[in-house]
Formats: sequence, structure tokens, C-alpha cells
Amino acid sequence: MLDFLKNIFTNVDTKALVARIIFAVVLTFVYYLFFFYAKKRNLQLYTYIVTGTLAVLFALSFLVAPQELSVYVYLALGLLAALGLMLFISDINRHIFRLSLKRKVFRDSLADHYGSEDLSKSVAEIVKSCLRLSKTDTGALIVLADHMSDEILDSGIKINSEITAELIETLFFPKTPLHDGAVIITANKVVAAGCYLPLTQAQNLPREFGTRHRAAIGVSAAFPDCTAIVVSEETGIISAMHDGKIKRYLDSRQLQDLLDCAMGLSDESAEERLWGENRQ
Amino acid sequence: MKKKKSVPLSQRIAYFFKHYFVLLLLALGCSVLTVLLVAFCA
Repeated sequence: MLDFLKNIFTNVDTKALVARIIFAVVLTFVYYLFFFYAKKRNLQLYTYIVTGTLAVLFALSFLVAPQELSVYVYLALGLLAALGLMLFISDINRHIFRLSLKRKVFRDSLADHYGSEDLSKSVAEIVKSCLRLSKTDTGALIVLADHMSDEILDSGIKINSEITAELIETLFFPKTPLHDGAVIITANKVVAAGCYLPLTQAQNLPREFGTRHRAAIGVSAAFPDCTAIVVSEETGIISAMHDGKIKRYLDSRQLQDLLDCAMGLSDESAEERLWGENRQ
Repeated sequence: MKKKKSVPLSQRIAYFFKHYFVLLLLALGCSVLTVLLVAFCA
């Protein structure tokens, strides 16, 4: 290896050098992506395994002949890549999905159609309805999103109505046809009710989390800009989910802050403060 | 919904350096090691 390192820039033609540099740039991007996801998922062990393996192989290259080492190098690189893909494929899928979503939101942005007053009024109505539903132990699932997939909207009933506490409470009134699904709020309107959402498959959730909570976590993980509010039918506890993260035991003040954030009434620093720094 | 107020570019860069620059350096180091190992074994 020592001789190889000494001659690396002298005994190599320009084309091979350029190819190696391009290879290194692409690899840097791939490693960075994996390390980035490892940090986000709190799986830094993967980063340590990768750096440790490469360091060991590099140290071995000073002792072992290239022919013998090559098997281990290719095997280790293949295994590390497979492990990285296995661990982070869902994050990669999610990010690609988000990129396509961002373009859509840009294209048909409804952003500036509403003033802060309208949105604040809507927030107040949602808070009011959640508190009343909580008092009566009525289960509820409200999803606030800038954009929601047609598949989810089509699974429920289109409503397209102004946001009022009375409407939300009526939609979740037990034994009515729409009470079992989610109410979707987009562009300052209740767009649909009785919608079915993707359930999370996470195993490490509290025992008291039922289908409603699982649906809220599932949809918040799938849609980056969405915030889901859940009122528990058993306990009346109000929870919020955003980006797969959960906030429980919310009072009216906290709920209002979270809804302000979801409606875009507060800035990004407030979002970081409320939901933590590791936004995806 | 109303558009969120954006964070200034300088703050975004500072945030990146604070949280992710080490990762970038680590990725760069790993990729250089990989290229060297592959070239050595080829």
C-alpha cells in the first residue's frame, strides 16, 4: 500500500484519475446520505460500523497483498451497502416522495388566498372542538395538510366547508356514518371526512394507542407538511403527530401553538421549538 | 394554507455547519478510503 500511495499521482493516466475523482464524489454523496439518515434515525452505530470497517481494511492493506485483500474489500463494501439500503430505504423513498410533493405544492399553491385572521379563526374553532370532544371522551382524528393525496380524499366524503367547531363535533358524533374516519383540513377548509389513512407499522408505541393513533402517526410520517390531531375515545387525551413525532397530553395553549404552526401562522423556528430540531 | 416565513440563508448555513458538516467530512474520508482500497485491489 505504501508504494501504491507514493505512486498514486505519478503512475496513473489522467482518464483514470478523473474517473476516480468522479467515483469519490458519487461515493461521498452516497455515504453522506446514509450517515444523514443514520443520524436522523438515531442509528449512529451504522456510521461507526462503516468508518471502523474501512479503517480496518485500510490498515490491513499495509500488511496483506492486494489479491488476498480484494475479496474482503468487495465483500465488506457490498455488505455495508446492503445494510445501508435495508435500514434506510424507507427514508429514501419518503424523501423522493416529498420532492415530488413539493413540486406539486409549488404548482398549485393556495398559499396566499387566506389572511392570518381567517387562519387564526379556524385554529380557534379546531381548538374549541377538540376541547369539547375531549371533555365528552369522543374519539376524533383531524389532519391538517397543505396537500393531501387524492387516494385518501376519495376514501371519504368530500365536504368543502368552512371550519367550525360545530361541524367538527358533528362529524365525530358517535354512531354517525362519518365518525370513524379522519377529517382532512386543507387550504382553510374541511375538505373531507370519514377518510381512511395509512396505519403505521411501528412496534414501539404505547399500549393505549389504537387504530386512530396509528393512522395519525402513519399519515404524519407519509406526508411531511401534515399535522394530525387525535382525541382519544378512551381517555379524552389530545395528542398531535407531525413527521412521525408524537406530542401527548396537550392543553388548549399547546394545541393552539401546534395548530398555529400547522397553519403556517408561526415561523420555522417555532416549528423547531415545538417539534424538535430533527425535522425531515 | 399561509406560506411559512422562511429562515435566512445565513442561518440555514450555520445550522448545516453545526449539525451536518462533520457528517460530510466523514463521508468524504470514507469515500477517499474506499476509492484507494478499490484502486489498490484492482
